[in-house]
Amino acid sequence: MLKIQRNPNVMWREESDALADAQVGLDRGDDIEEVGTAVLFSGGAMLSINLLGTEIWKLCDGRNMDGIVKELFEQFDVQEEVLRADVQAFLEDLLKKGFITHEE
Amino acid sequence: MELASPITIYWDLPKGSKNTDFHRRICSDILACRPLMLQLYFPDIRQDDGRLELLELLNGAQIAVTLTVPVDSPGNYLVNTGLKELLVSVECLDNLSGVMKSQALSGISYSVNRENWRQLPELVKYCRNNDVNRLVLPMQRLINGEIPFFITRHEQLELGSSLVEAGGSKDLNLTIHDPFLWRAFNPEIAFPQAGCQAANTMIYIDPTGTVYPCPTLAVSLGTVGELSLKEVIESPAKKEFRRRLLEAPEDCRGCEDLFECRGGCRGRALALHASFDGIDSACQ
Repeated sequence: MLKIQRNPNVMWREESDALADAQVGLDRGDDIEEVGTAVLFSGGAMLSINLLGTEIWKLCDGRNMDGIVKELFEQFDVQEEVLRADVQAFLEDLLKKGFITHEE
Repeated sequence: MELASPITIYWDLPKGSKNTDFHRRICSDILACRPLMLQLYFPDIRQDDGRLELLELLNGAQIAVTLTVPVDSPGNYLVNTGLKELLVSVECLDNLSGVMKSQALSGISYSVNRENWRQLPELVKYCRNNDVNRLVLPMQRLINGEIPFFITRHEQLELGSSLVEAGGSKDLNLTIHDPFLWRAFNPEIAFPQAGCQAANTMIYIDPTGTVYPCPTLAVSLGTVGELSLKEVIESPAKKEFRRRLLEAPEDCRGCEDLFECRGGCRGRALALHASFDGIDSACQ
């Protein structure tokens, strides 16, 4: 299975205030999908990603898709197939934008 | 997308290496704001310059530092200082002769103005012929009442054609801040930033420590020393400024290009009209 790696040319930062807000919202059961908790920047393009996206991004360290899903499944209260579909869609978008690479 | 803290900080240092304590303070303020990129400009620099200590302070931090120095300054002593890029600042093609021989140099920062903009196709050709793949067209500094530079729509078309005739710029790693110069270089690609990013993704510190939304936008947000940079960035004045900037200029209402250009360069329009509601003249 392909190993997923962050593109080393991408600069990124977690947004600590937004992260705290997202955690509070999550505990309250709010919809936090639109809360950007990290910002990625590469080649003039900027991308704001939400809490789940940030956690996926941080796990793009050479793990494969199964490894990422397994790790997140322990953190988030969600059905595995729903999580897998979200992770896959997010990674496909990152790959298209050149923010991650795939390695054999 | 509105950010709590900018990802790019521009900092122009004054001439000479006095006041290093103050510069160290600014440096640590910058580090506290965790930008992703720092664009430093040294108007002069020597091998024994005390300001090189600032590069040491920044080295190792998770910040991509670009240093721009005058054409007669670059030296191999700037190798291994942790810089992501070292650019040489020029305003004339004649200054370029042999300039890229320094191993430390990454590319050219070319300050475009009314006198030299027609040299851009020649510059692009120079870059291609001399294996220079990095070219930055920096933002004009308008904080001291300088006359804003722009090229008209007609001139943008002229420049676009000349660039095509010169072989195009597609192999260059090019940074263009002016949305209308961008259009001349990239007629098929929309400007990548969603409107003016002054005081959002970027902030500018001038040689005195005064903080501006961007180098082109002459509205002081505060001064480092009186406040920390973080306090300036988090201030109600900065938030109100940003709120105002997100409103489209009154004179652009109804324009079919507004969705794409979002008022163009708001600093230039402010300098020309003394109002946030005026049209960026490069649009006309």
